[in-house]
Amino acid sequence: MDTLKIYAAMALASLRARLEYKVAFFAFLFAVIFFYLAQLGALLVVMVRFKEINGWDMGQMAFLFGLLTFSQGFAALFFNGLANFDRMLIGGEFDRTLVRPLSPLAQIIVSKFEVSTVAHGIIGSVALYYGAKLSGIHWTFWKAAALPAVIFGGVLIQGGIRLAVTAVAFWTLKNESLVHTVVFSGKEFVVYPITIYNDGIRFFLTFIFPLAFVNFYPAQYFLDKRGETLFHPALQGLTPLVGVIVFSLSLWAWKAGVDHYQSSGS
Amino acid sequence: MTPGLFLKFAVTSFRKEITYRFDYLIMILNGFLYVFIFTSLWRSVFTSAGGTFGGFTKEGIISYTIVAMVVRISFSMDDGVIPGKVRDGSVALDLIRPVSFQMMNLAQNAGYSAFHITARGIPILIVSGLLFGLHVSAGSLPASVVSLALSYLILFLLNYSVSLLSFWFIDVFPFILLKYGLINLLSGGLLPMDFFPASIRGWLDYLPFQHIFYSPAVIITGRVAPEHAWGILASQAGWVVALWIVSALMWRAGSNRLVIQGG
Amino acid sequence: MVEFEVNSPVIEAVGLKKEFSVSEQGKGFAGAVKALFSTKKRIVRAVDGVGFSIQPGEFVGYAGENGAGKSTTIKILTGILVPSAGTATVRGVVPYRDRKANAANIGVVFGQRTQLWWDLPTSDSFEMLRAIYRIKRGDYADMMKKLSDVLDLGPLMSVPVRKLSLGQRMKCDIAASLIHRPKVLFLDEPTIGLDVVAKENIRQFLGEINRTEGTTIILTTHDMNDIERLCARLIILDKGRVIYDGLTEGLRQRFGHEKVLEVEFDGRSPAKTALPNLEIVAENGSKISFKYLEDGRSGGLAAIIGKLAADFPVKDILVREPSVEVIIRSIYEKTVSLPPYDGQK
Repeated sequence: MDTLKIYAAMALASLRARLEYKVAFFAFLFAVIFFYLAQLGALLVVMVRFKEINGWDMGQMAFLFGLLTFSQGFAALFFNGLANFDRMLIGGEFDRTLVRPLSPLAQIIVSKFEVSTVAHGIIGSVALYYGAKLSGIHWTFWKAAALPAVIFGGVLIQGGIRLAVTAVAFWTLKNESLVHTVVFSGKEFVVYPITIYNDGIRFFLTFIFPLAFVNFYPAQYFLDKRGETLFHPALQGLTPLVGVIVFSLSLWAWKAGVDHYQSSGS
Repeated sequence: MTPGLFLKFAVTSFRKEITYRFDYLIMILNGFLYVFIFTSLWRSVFTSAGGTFGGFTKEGIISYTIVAMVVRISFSMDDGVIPGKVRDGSVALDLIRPVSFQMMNLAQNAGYSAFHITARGIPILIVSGLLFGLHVSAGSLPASVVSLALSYLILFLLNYSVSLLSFWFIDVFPFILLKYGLINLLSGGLLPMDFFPASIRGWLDYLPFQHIFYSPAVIITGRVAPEHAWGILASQAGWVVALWIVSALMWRAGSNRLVIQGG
Repeated sequence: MVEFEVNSPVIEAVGLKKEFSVSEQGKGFAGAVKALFSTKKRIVRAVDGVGFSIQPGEFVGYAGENGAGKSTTIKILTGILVPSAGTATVRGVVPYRDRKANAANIGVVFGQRTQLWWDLPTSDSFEMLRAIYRIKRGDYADMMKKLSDVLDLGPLMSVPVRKLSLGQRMKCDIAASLIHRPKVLFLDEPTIGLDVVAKENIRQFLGEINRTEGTTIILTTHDMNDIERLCARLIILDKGRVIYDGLTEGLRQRFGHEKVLEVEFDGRSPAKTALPNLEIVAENGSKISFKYLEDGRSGGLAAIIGKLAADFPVKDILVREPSVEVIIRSIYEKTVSLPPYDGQK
């Protein structure tokens, strides 16, 4: 409890540090929202012209996008401290975390407050709300209960992937492109229903790089899209479990990375 | 600036890019990933739409996507250089160099892009072409080369102008993000202008963005016949001139400001 | 946790080794392209059998050229790196095995990188550290008062760290590393980039902390004046090995045979050939500096001065002891050779 308080104080300090530059804070927030709206604009143009993508209409696509972006926002809130970790490692800031009587990972997580979190939260919740409304989801008790669990699983999956990819820096030192590719470009895959891809990629996004559990499979459940079951219908309910597995594996990879750094780092 | 000096700047930044092997392989993967996602998307929606849409055939849109994406990847530029120089004051050193700042930056960007063209663009083009099918118009070759050169200049001048804003603003990253948002949506890099509603498309003709990726891609893939390409090239050239004047004025105002205020 | 005994060494290092593998890249364009495909690695032994033991309250200088293994040893002792071989204990704790327990016992200052919160007022950083090291309010207030009195931190507390000068920031950084009253303080280049006055302030403060708090201090620096002023004991590293471990003054006594004789002539200065036994090291107008080797062959200092004064119009004579810096430089340049180091002081 005491330790949590220390981390909370450090997280608050990061937020205060960020708010020292108020103009930059809001300019950045505005720009990030604009950037995502432009991206959504492209999707909107496609939806207006083609009406649907592989059987997913406008509302369903919005819901799919909302699930992704909303959980991405939460994942960013907790894990964006890992951004530019390779620079922390090369610049020696990581060493500093090792000479303090706290967990290095926790110190890194609270070391930065990421503005884009707010943007993701705003865009994600708006998309989720309108997606649910437009697609006329038939809400049941179970669906309402499942939503937070799915978000939780999605956060763990995205955060876990981020953590694992960041840990690669312990071996390669520079991993900016990898983080960019896996964390930012990788999620472009699941902006669209994964049924548009060939079998190999569907398998990849389900069993190897399980981003499809962030939005595609749970969306099938919420939207009652029973006609297009992929692999097995049970996958639609596995998001929280997949999240826990991915995150555990990532934590293990991170610890292995720290060990490697301490025994062979320079 | 002499060609030799231009080359030296270009080679230096090329070398800088190639240093990290692992990063390089990942960058190829990153570029290919976008080509894959969008060709999959178009194949899916074009199949549902019956094979042709908005003047594109399924093969046509896939060729368009490959070309536009490869050009986009090849034309990577480093946005951080000028803001970084202004922030740490080293831009003052460039002021006293007997070379044009704009040309020097163009040279450095050319080296940076030369790396991305040879090391990323070409491999991705070959692999994508083999996997997804690529049709280009042989008769359009001269027009294609000119169009690519002009589109490179337009993109460079846009990036350069936004970077120059760092003379007036401490943090230009929001502007860079805004620029990327506009380019993603309006340049034809992700989706061709033909898919926009006619009412919006009329407005887009007043902006330079579609001349970055859309114009060269439609010329290269032969969607615009070679004999009709000249009009497009003329408007591209017009935008180059306009943006060159704007950025030159910005540089003059910005560097004066720096000299007067002493950074 | 191991109970620490007062009379045992506070730091004990035995046979520390640390190996790194580095990939090689050739020069030029071809080298860069080749590096894309080759994975040629080379093993570098940064620390190669380092051992020493340090008693509580010692102020030890840790010197060596770049790449001699100084930073790597410090990183092992602070728990950042695990040695490839050998053992280390700091106050009875093995730093790389029990990192957090060790971290609570030590203070660390990395000269080039601040540990303070860059964008926040300085006082916020101290408050954060109070929380991180779980310092009781009363203890914190006492130590804070002591640090502010000596270092005059008061006016700096409300200023954001990014607006501090380098000297001010270093003062705050050192204070921050001491706020939890560590028994051992590691300082890595604390005076780098500082002006003369700031350096002097920092030195005075470190000396005082060492005396009044009994803090054991290990100081790595390029500035031999730091070591001459502060460190009674000096450990010198070269290529990952200890080549000297003993009194700082002892180094001068053992290797300070070379003295510099600074002579100012009145008008006419002697031709070089007139002084066959003396090597000229500097010439500045009528002032000439000679190197004088106390080896009995030059015929004694008095004889030389007598001869100079008799033959030439001498206005002033100054005999300079060599600085530790000069001695160490001559050790590296191999103009002075050390007997093989046997592990004894």
